[in-house]
Order: sequence, then structure tokens, then C-alpha cells
Amino acid sequence: MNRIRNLLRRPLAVASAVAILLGSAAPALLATSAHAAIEQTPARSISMSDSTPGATNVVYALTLTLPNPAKSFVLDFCGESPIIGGDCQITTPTNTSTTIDASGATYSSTAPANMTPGQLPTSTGTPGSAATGWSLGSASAATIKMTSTTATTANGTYTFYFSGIKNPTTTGSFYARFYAYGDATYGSTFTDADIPVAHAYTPAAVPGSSPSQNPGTYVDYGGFALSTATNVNITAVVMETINFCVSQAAPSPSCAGVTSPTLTLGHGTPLALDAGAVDTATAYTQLSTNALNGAVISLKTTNSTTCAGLQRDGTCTSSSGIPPIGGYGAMTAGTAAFGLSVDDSVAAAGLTASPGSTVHAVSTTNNLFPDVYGTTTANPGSYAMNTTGANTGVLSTYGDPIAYATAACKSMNNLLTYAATASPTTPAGVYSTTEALIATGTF
Amino acid sequence: MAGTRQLRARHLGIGLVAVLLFTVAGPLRTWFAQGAYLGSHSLTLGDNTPGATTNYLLSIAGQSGGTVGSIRLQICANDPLVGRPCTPPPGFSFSGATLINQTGITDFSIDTADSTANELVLTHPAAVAPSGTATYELSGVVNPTSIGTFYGRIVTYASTDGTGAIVDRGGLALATNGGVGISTYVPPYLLFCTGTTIQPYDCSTADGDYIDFGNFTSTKTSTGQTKLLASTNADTGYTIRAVGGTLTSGNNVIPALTTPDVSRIGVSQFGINLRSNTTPNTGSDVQGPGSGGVAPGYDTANFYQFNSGDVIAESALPDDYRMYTATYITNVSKDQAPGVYVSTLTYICLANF
Repeated sequence: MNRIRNLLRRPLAVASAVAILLGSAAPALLATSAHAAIEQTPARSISMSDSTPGATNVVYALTLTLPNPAKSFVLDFCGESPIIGGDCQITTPTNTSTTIDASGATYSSTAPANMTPGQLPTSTGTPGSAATGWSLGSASAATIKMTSTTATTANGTYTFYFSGIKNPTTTGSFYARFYAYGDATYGSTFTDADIPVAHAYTPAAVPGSSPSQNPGTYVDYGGFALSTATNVNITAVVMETINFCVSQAAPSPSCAGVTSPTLTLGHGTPLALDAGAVDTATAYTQLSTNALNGAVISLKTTNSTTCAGLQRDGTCTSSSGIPPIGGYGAMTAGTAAFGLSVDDSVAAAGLTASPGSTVHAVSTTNNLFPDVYGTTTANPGSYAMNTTGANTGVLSTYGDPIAYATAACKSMNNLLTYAATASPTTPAGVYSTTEALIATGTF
Repeated sequence: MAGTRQLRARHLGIGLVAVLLFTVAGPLRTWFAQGAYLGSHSLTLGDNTPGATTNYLLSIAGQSGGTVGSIRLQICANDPLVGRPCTPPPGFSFSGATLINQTGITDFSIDTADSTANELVLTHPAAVAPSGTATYELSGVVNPTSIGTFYGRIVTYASTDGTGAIVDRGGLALATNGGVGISTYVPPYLLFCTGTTIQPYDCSTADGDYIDFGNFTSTKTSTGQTKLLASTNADTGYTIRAVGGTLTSGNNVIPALTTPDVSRIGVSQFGINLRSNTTPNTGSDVQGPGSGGVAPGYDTANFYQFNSGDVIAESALPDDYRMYTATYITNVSKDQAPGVYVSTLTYICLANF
């Protein structure tokens, strides 16, 4: 994830870095003579909310430190270089579909919603101050003019947010030039000891000429390099998964340590069932799935379509079986019955990853289904083996839901406690059943 | 030098990763390019036993609303990703599948021409997919024969033959396992005890095995009782027989009633029954939660008989506790020879497992 974030940040960082680098070199390259008081802004950057070629509604965040108080500035976008006085053909586009278009730019002193903290114009994510009294003077395809009623503070650092800009549609570098003025009218009136004669910023008389404009008598200046870059498209596939196992021993994470879930109910030696006790045996299910909508574990009797209880010698008649207990309730020794209780899940011992959703027993308090197989707290002695309902019950086509998760889960173990007791008239013999435990994920 | 090797190794590693990514990227892009991902969808198995022939219930919700003419359900062993090669799970088969129920749009049928053992195409005249949940229930589907996870791929198409442009797609994972085997053993038992007294249904309280009629007289019927408690889980129940002789004193005999008869004072006779009687006022009817009953000949109030070896009580089924009261009556005539008359009766309860 960090790699991805860094990768996405890189074009912005590069844009900013190049801006600073070129800006530093600019004074040596300037063709025009500068006033003694005129200073290059010592720190400046333009952060783009999106560097995709041709992207629209992009936010350009201009952050700079202004050595001299300023009441207006001009930001020109150029195709050739950031050097003031050099060609700036992009300012007079002949084909706006391939060049920057700032004509729809709007100004805000705070970050718009579509500029995320990671895109804010400093490495720390903290922008400059909001300048007081500033507003958009005008915006054209490649020129943004800002004016203010209040001068900036000398050496103050400010951030100006311009929304609604369309990036150049070609991939590569483009540039910006910045001129700040001591008056609110782009240099037309400002004079001081170093600027005896005022000259206003003037666009080129002939579009496309070189140099394209006269920047006028600015007090601070700077150059920027920006870049558009093709987006890095990252795709990943997370397959739908479900890992479900049934074990007599509690499974370790990822269904490790599973033992055959062959249970024998009874007491004494050898194990035998009689009317004197309720005998129990336990097994576990373990469920892991990334199913978005969770999963359901259902219980279904598979060796008979009519007997939900324990059948003797593989046969099933009304007089030769230990019947299902039915709805959730106490099992009494001596009243022949067979049932199951389910506990809420616990994460497999040793699981280091987050287990995700609990796999709830279908219970009196967590019940999305018609039947009940447990409670959220231990309730030994109560069991269920439901057979009623057209679409539920352990004899129905898809079995009876006994536990469920509402979201993805990891290595969650549910304890199943099977119980049975015989009555005095329960015929002697070997009783058995096979129960399918079916996990269905809803993806 | 070492640094150079590390640098080369790192570059080589980056190169390999790049190659790997580009190798994978092609198929992944293909997969991503196809259709919208379905909303909630599931495939429920009627039985997840490996190799079982069972029902599958396909549920689809959240279709994108495009025109759908067919649905392809593909079962794979390797992954649920639509468009990637599919390895059929060993043993799995749609070949015998039948569409038995459907909801949502309900005019689908199985397109057998375009279906295979692990791919089922449902077809119908193209129509806008329902916004709600649609279900399709299949019977006769054979599960994979091995335990573990396998996958389903669901694809809807505008065409009616499961080909062409994909409308929606989705994957899912399923699992087979062996279920839980549960067994228990109920041992056979026969509970039987006798005594002059037994607290209800508790053989540990049985007490007394001697009945003293006192002095016989021709003007009064002498009586006595024995309690019998029986229970069994034998399939065909139990029988209780009374074995022994009538009262004798040397060569002198008080005749047993070989056929049912009432008590006749002044007539030498010995008999038993297992009912509540009024003549004389003695005995009790059978008690207890079981269903066993008194055998014919011993089941009529005020009528008595005794034939050694007769079944006096029985149950044809496994039976819960039954408390029988065997009532003895003895009458003597005036000319009954004096003496001490004695008999020993043995009650035998036989369970028929």
C-alpha cells in the first residue's frame, strides 16, 4: 500500500522538485534586467490534484513565500520554459484540446474537497496561510490573475487554490511563471525607489508571438515546472474464497490439525447410551471466507430423508430410532432424544490475523433464521434438531441454518455439541446418523 | 564488489517482478474488462458430501439491469475468475442436472447444446434482468469427489447461448467435506424383580418372597400377593411365566384351577390372577408407564386359574416399567385333609431380543 501511495505521489513530488530546481536557476537565465528590490520567491511550488493528461476539474495549489508585500499577481502557463521573457506559446493556444485550459478556474483560500491531504502542497501536508482579501481577477486559457485589497506580509508563505483547471492533454512537462505586484492592478500604478516607473502586465499584442507578454513591474517572481504523466493503473484480483472444515479436535488456523469427526455418544466402557443420562460429544467447524455478505452453516441429515434422529442399524422406522428433539429446549435423561447445540465462534488458537466477523450460533439473540441452536452464553443441557418448515429443518433440501456470519471471517471455530439419551423402551442396538455441515458464502 | 552484486541482484529482482507483473497483467486486464460484478450471489449445495448427487441453488441479486438472454454457471477447481482457464473439478458433473425451480425471470431452461459437464448454460428469450433476487434450483448435480474448496463462475450474457458480450459476472467459492458421523450403542436390558412389596418401579426396594395364608377354612377365601416389576428394550418385548405347582401337603393336594373360575368358598381350589378383584376384595390392576399387559386367563377380575408354565403377563414391544400384582386365592372344602400346604412358584421373565 505504501508503495502504491509513494508511486502516486511521485509525479507530484517530481513536479514540485523540478519547480523548485528550475526556479532557483531562473535568475541566471533571465533575459530581462531586474530591479534591486525585486526578489525571486525563495520557496514555491504548484501541486496538482491530478496529473493525468487532459484531466478536468483539477486543483492547482500555488504555494509560495513572498519576500515583498504584494496585492496582485499573475500566473502564466507556458509550454516552452519557466524563464521570464522566453517564449510562452502555450498562453495562446491554437488547440485548447491539447493544451492547458485555466479559463474556468475558480479561487479558494482553503483546499477544495478533491485535493486530499496527501496532495497538499508541502511535504508535511501543511499548506501556507490563506491570504486575506484576495480574489480572482481574471482567468483565461493560460493566465490566472489575482488581486487583493490587502497586501501580503513580507516573507509570508501563502497557498492559493485554483479549481476547475484542465490539464494539458499531452504527457510531459509544462511550465508556469509567476509575477507579484505591489499594487492591485498588476503593476500599473506601483512605484517606489527601485521602481520609479510603473508598467502594467500586458499580454502579447499578437497571440503566439515571442516573447508573448510584458510582465510589467513586478516585485517578486518565480518559475515552475509541472508535468503530466500517464496514470499507473494498478489492478489486483482477490479471489472469492471459502475454507470450511469439520473436525473432532479444535482446528488450528486454516483448518490445520483436523481430525475425523466421528463421534460416539454414550458413557461407561464400552460407551453406551441408556435412559440414565444425557450423553454428549463435540465437534468443531472452522470457517474462513471473504464473502462480502457473510456465510451460513447449515446442518442436514444425509442418510435419511425422513429420520432426523439416530437410526438403528441403518434403518429408520417410527419405532426404531432415537428421535430428534425438535425445537431448542432441555433434554431430559430417559426421554429419548437427539440434538445439537452450537456455541458462538472463537478464533482458532494461534490465529494472528484478525478473525473478522463472529460466526454466530443461530440463537435466541442472534437469529436471522427460523430455528434456534444456541444462546450467546453457555446454556448446557439445551439442544435442538429442527425438522419443521418447508425450507428449513435438517431434512429439508438445503438443511437447517445453525450458524452464520454477516461478513468475512478468518479461522473461526464453532463448537458443536451433540447430545442424546435413550428411553427405557429405546430398542437395543447401534444407532447412527451422518450429518452434513454445509457452508454457503454469499459473495 | 559485494555492493555491485547486490545491486545486480536487486535489478534482476526488479526485472523479474516486472516480467511477472506483465505476465499476469494481461489475463487480469482481460478479466477486469468483462461485465459488471454481480451484487449478492451464492450457490447453495443440498449436500456437500464429496461425490454426492444433490441439488444446487443458484441465487443472484444486484444484476446491472442489462438485457440477459443466458446465464453460464461454470464450476472450476482452480479459481473463480471469469475468463481464465478453468480446470474442471474431478468428479463434478452437470450432465444429469435438471432445472426444477426458478424465481425472478422464470422462463429459463437448460441449454444442453452449450452446456458441458462443468458448465451449465441457462437460456431464455433475452429480457432485462430483474432488479431483485433471481434463483435457479438444479437437481441431479454431482459434487466433486474430493474434499476441499472449489469454485463457481457466474456470467450473464445478452445472447441466448452463453457467448458474446458479458453483462454481469461473479465468482464464488464452495467447499465439500465429509460431514459428521455420529453413533451410539444402546445395550439390551431386562429389568425384572419380584417381592411381596416393591416401591413403584424400583427393583432395589423389592422385599419379601414368602406368603403365609394362615389357617385355611372352608368359610373364607385365603389370599396373598406378589408384586412383579418388568421392563425391557427387547425388540419384541417380554413374557412372564409362572412355573411351579399347586399347594400340596404330602400327598394331599388343593387342586389348581386349570380354567378360569371364580372363587368358590368351600370348594378346594387354588388360582391366581393379575387384576383388581372384588370377590374376594384383593389384588391390583397393572401399573406403570409401560404397555405390557396381563395374559389371557389371568386378566379377568374375579376369575382365577393356574397352569404351571403359563404366560401370565407379556409385552410385544420394548416396554417401560410395568408393575403387576399376582393375587393368589385358596379355598378349601370341609373335607380337605389337614396339613401344612406348601407351594413354590417361580416367575420367569424372558425378553425376546
